[in-house]
Amino acid sequence: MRSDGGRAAVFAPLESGRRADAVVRRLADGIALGLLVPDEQLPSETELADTFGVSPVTVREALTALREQGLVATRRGRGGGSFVRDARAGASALHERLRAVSPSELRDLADHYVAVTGTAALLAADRAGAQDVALLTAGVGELERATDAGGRRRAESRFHVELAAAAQSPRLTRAEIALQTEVGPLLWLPTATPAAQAEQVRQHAAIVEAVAAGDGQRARAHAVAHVYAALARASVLQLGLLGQLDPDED
Amino acid sequence: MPTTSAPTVAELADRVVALCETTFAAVDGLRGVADQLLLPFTQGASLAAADVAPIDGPVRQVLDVPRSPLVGAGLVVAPDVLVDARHWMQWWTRDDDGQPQQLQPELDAEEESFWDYTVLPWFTVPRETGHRHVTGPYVDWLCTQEYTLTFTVPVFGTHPERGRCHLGVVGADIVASWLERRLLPLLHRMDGPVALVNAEGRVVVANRPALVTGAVLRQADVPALWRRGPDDATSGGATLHRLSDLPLGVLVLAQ
Repeated sequence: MRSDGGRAAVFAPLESGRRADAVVRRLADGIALGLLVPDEQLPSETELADTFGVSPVTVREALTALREQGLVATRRGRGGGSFVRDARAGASALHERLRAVSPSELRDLADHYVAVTGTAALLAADRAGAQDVALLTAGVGELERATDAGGRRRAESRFHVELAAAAQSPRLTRAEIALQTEVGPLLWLPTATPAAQAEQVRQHAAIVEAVAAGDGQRARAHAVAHVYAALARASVLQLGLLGQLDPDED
Repeated sequence: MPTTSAPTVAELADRVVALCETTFAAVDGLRGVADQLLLPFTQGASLAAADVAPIDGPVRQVLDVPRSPLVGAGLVVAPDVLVDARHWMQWWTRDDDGQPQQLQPELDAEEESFWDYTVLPWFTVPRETGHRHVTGPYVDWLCTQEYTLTFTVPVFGTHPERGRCHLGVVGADIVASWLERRLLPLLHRMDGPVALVNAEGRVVVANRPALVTGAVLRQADVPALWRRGPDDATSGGATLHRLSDLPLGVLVLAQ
């Protein structure tokens, strides 16, 4: 492996905090900055764990997240390992989607989604039965237990569908289901990181608590804040991606 | 124009029971088939998913009746009854053209999108009570995507080694609007506010806009009235008449 200052910084030990997320950021930045080039093989999991000063489990978690984001590919067998994918060539479905919409379109999707989800939360507080609250509570647990980006995204989507079902509205429920195909990749995948997970779990728990207490306004406020928090994360990622585009390219 | 007296609570109750019995009659027919298919298990033989698949014919038949209120029906097998599928169901729904389609949910518990039906009330209540149950109304987002009532009956059997065990449920779905349409003409002619409610106090259908289908009644504490037992219970001007053998009641409110 070639070694120079920039590359050394990519692999410098991590100090503390949300380690898997930090590994993801470090490698994702390295790929985005071109310090790690397409088709380059990453060091082994053990080597990465050593250089970053984290456990192999953390490295595996980070590589899963990077795979979900389409930034690395893992090949099995002889000559196998994790390889950098060509992000500019559209390897990442998430990045592709985020590049394909403009900030105003992304914001508009969140607005539409808030209209459905906020109202679902408001009505669920009035109409949810014990069984609905039990299913929503189980949904929070599901998100808490999710161990990869795909699992987090599914748990997130499912929670919102259950919330609309608790509102006793088939139309809002169908609207939620229909919106998940758009919202999933744009709003939930950017938040499907280990660090965001704890925050998302807290937001879900706050919504469920307000629904169980029958406080519709509070349930709606938490649901609205939850969606716009996801929008904020997605926007940061999107601006970074759009900022790298050639301004004359359409 | 002949004057007709307002229908009584008893008449409304009879009509509800009759409509529910129609649905349970179809379910009971399917239970007979399920009992036969599950019989080898109670004799100690190994049973596979393919062995319960023959229930598909009778299920499709009950769904295929013209103007049938049933929008879904089938057999849901309890865990660890079949040797090749820990969780299993043979469930069919009617699509938009009225054609039966087999529901294919994720039933592999290892998968994250696993649909754990073993915690849902249409499965757990008949298992716990040993009795038939009506779940809902609720938004059945996995199956009909409509406002639904699910009618289920338990299937039990005695296994040579495991003893008496729960083998699953047989059931059918109707949409709430079917019940609403059939009961509103009667409800409309009744004096005063009247609602058909479930044990949670959720309105199935009522004759006042404020008592809209799906709302949880705030005018009366239905769960508390329900717990008082099968006889009519009154509190604060509201009287609950529980229907015998069904988790539904007629709530008469003060004017």
